[in-house]
Amino acid sequence: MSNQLGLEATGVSKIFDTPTGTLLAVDNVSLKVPAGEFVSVIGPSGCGKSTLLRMFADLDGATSGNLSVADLPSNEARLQRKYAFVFQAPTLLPWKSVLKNVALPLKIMGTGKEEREKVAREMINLVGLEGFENRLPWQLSGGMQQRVSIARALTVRPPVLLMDEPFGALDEITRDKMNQELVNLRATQHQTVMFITHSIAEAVFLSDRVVVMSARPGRIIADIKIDLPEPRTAESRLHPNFSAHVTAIRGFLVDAYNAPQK
Amino acid sequence: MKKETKVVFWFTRLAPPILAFSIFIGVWESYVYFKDLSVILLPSPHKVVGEFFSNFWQLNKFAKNTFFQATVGLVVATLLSVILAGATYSSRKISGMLENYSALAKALPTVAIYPICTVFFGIGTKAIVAIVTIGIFPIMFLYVLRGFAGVSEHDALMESLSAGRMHRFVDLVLPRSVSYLMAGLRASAPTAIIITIVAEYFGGEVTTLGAFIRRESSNLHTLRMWGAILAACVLGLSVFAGVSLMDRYFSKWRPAND
Repeated sequence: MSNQLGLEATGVSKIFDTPTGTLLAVDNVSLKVPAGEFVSVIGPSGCGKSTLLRMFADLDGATSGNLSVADLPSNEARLQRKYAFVFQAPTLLPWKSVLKNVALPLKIMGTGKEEREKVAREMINLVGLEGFENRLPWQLSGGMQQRVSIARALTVRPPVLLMDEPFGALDEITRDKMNQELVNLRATQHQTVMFITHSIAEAVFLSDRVVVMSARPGRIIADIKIDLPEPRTAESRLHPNFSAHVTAIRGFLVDAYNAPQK
Repeated sequence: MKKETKVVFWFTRLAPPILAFSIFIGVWESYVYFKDLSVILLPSPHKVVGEFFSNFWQLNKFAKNTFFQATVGLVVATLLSVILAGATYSSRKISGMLENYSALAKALPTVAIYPICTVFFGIGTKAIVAIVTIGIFPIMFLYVLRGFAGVSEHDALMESLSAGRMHRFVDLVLPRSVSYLMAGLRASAPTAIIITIVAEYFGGEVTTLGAFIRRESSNLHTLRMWGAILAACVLGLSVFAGVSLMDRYFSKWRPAND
């Protein structure tokens, strides 16, 4: 298991066609994420972090290079449902209850109603939303909606979780709470996670590794192993290594922001 | 705050149409009274209302038949729109062709081809259902296609879940389009009633509102004709209210203030 790769990108580039010409969004990115590792990707706005994640998910195609998820080419991994994607917005179907939203991936996989509702209830309990099964998304707060979307992602027990700034729209306190819940969840689920964020503190708190990308075109300019005692708790933020990592990453990001964009 | 909202609602939404309608009735009543018009030429509104109630059960029976024909035509047109838009929305080329046809057909006075329908279906219910279907399909198709062709972040979700075409349609595309479908029905339902009554006027079963209006008009029973016209108006408004209630039911997942 430990020899398996959760995610791998080799020489990946992405060029977008725009009305004013071509735009190189991601430039020759190579990255290996062992199974079970939590990697955060951080970088200036528009540097191609989300594009890289979407290429892993086969939602966008790479212009060149290879991507694999759970040792499968990304398109095969999507078809075999080897990953779950958590979007920046909760993307809950507003006409479905919490229970039905969480059970959706299993419904699509053809699981019977009784079984999928049983699993969905387990996941709802796991994210602390028991009692809200029959609520509609608009009846929940932003944080609760995002918890539902995480529960939905966990229902198929995917080996890989791809998370695109899932807590970006939440206030600071809710975000810290969600970070702790994600840490607690991961302690029981053990997925490989790629997590896109703009928050240095969030990246350091959650991750085993933090990858820093340059301004457009996105390249990897730093790959930092996070050395913090486990399990991560609120006290982890007070550990001397925490502030050292934050300072180091901030330095790379300042350089990335100051570099001219192409 | 809630009370203020109700007051604002009354003055901005309800008061203007009620005022306009009252002025219209007032002018009509005064015109007939001061010009001393004969009831054969133009009956006053209060006489029309009196005739409506005195002939209520007969009008009710005719209105039911008219309603049935309009509803069947509307349902057939809606089902056809959903099936055709569902089959073509992912192909821009084919749906574009149907969209152009619908835009053109919407502009044509389809009821004028009613005599052709009678050649194929004879005079009666079948021909009327056919002409309502022909008249309503372009309206419904344009609304339904616009709904089906919509995109949102949920499409990426379905892609990431590797959902098949049928799951995407049933779990995402169809429910996402309900507001378009309901808007289409709100626009189409009163039109279906109008097409039905006009078609009945040109040749329908004797026990329908359109045929009754024609008969009473040619017999110079102007007051009875106006009673039937009032019944047609009540039917049109009832159908619109019914569709609005359906809209509320199917949109209950939306926030109350949305």
